[in-house]
Amino acid sequence: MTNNLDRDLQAYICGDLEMDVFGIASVGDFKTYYPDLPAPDRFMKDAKSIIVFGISFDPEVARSTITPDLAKMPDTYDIPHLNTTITSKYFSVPERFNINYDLLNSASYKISKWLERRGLQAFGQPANNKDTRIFKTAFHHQPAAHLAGIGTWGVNHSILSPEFGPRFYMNTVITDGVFKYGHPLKDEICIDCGLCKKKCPAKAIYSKADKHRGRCVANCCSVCIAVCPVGERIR
Amino acid sequence: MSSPIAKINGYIDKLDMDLYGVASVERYQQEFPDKLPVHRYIPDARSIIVIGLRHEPYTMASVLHPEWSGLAFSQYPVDEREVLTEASGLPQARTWFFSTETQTLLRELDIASYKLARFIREGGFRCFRLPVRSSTLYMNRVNISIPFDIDDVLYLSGLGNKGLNKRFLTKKYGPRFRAAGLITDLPLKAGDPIDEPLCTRCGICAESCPAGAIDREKGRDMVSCSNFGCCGVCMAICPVGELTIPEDLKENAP
Repeated sequence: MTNNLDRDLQAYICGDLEMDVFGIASVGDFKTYYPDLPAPDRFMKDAKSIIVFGISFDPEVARSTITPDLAKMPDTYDIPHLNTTITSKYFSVPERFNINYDLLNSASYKISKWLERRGLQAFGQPANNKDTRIFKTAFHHQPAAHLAGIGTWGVNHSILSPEFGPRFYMNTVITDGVFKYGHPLKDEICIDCGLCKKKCPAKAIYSKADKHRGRCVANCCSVCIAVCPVGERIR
Repeated sequence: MSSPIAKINGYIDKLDMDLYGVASVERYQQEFPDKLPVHRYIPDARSIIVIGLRHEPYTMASVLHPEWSGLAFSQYPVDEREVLTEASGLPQARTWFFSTETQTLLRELDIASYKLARFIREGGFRCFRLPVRSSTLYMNRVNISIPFDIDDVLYLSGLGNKGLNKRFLTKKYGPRFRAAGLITDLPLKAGDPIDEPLCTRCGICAESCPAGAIDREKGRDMVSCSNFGCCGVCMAICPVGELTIPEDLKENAP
């Protein structure tokens, strides 16, 4: 019975919703590994599983971060009738990746509905925070992705998956259903080349364990994601 | 060979909507003679279709828990936070769970109604798609009666009626849904309006409105509501509907 539900869920998320990345983490694991972060049962009393799913970047768009001339926009141009000057180095991160967030938000809504039809409680979160100071959500997706076995932490403070490296966005659905849980990957995926640390324009990355999150988000460039050499399918 | 109406019904099933209803144009003109005539949109209009999607109960509950949205920011050490506040002085989005889901629902409804309109046109009929984002008129703080109010159609199609919080209440989801409308010349079977009020006039929405915009007798005052900004509390707290928000989250609300 449980096996069928597991298989159906995976078929729905990876097949119907066309997600690239999928995994399930247990709430118990989350509370043991990450005791300082907001726990899933804060949002749902009987939470048991965290369903993690993600969608990969458009590789060419990701690359435009480190090659601003790909965007083919002049650095500065005048709009005479508005009496203003717009300075643009490259497209801003939210503009480039809005479609990823839209798809993830739709997916989380559809997955929670799918679970509710099967008599389970579900809370599908938005993939990103509207507050532009922080793009992090109240419940952190990345630790759940680590526990679900999607990937491991890299020096650039993203989850690196063997397939896509850090070039995917993810979202989670918290539910009280019990599924077959994943386990953190045994092998480190980050090769510790230090490229992200070297290229970070804000000099915000210190080490794997430490970064200045304020400076990182204030700069918000995603260069560390674009330069990462890890990932089989997208370079 | 199946009739065009059977085909349309099959297509609507495929779209997987939570709410579906049909109002007859004839009845709409009788009941609301002051509104813009439907024939201005399509000359031989016969029916108005409404489709709707419900809000998730846990997302609605987040409206009563503004501390949830502060969780991410409070994770940052204080000195790192200062850099962020300088970078952009935006106030923290109080209802970002709710507003993000609303945008998702409206986009899904937009896509569904676009597909449905195209399907109806392919069957040789006409179809006018009403915009889903009519509520922006209230957001601009202009309290005007819009030419086409989707609530009137929802009432005529027999899905429910308006409550004290002046939100449309349905039997299944209470006020926790979003809807889109399509005007067409297809002769679909129209529903019968429910005249018995679904609202129990319990006054919980009036008590919990943070703007104090809901009067127990007169209902919601649109101007003070829109001046406060969209908070969704009167939708979340409403006890009407089979699907309400989880009780434990209602009780623990600060």
